[in-house]
Amino acid sequence: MKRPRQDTRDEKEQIQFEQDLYRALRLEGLLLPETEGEVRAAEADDLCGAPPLALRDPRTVLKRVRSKPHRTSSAGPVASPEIEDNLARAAREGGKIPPEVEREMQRDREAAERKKYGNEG
Amino acid sequence: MSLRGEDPKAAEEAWAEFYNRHLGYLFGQCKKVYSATLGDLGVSDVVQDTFVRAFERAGTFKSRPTTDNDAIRYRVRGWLGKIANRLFLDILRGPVERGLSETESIAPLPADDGNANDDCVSLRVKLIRDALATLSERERHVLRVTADWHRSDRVHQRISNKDMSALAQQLQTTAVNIRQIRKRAIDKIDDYIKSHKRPSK
Repeated sequence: MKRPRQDTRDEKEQIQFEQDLYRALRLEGLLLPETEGEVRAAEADDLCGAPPLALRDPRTVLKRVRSKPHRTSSAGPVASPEIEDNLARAAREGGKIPPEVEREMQRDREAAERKKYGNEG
Repeated sequence: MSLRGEDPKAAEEAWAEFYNRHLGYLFGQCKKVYSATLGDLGVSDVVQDTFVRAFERAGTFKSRPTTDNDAIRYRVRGWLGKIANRLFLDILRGPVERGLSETESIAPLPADDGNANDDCVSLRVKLIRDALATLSERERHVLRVTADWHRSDRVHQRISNKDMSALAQQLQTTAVNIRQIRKRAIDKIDDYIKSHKRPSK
């Protein structure tokens, strides 16, 4: 009877192997691209098919966010200035942020934090 | 709850801009990769949930300073892909794992390493891809469902019995069998790598 093979990999090797396996699954198209290189290659794909009507209005999704307060409970308040800031940054996607705007954002953020924590304390 | 105490309208506009900019890409990719498993409705759910999670976790998105718009777009979309994959795997793994990974599935983007080796796919990854083609459909499915379980940021690297039981229920088999299928698939990949790796001179 064939005996099961012993796994001789140590933990570090095991983690590296699993990471390579996970990457191979993405490159095989069994999971979505996650790295810059993978996304670059994926964007070159000529994917046809427009999103369904139900997905086309971002405000519908926004309503869903607002109608599910429990989802945000573990993620912290949505009103966090940092989140909003990053959302705006992500939305701009590299649009250059002038230094004065950057400073203004920083001031806003600090003021919001002062207001929030000042009220709590 | 308003999105932004001072200027909710601006936040909503930013959200809409973000959504519109990435919807086509995310939907196209999700449809290509997930539709055979989840169907069209399932794909739409994952797309929508991904944006919701991105919205909730926008604070974890860290982009290194750059003026390269393409690089930032790749990074944002990679982050969305990561969220979508976690959601997809949560669905495949069943309700127990879904509850367990509620926080993990929206884990922050790892520290930016500049993706220095991003284009350099290791020989082992190439061989694993080739080896995947030699596996049975069931073996590939088990590897896919159990993918990303071994993450360096997790304290426990092994799949817990509870999670494995949920997965077994999902696949209508036993936890022991799942572990055996996975082990067999990994052994096959190992054998393939060993037999195809050129000996170093």
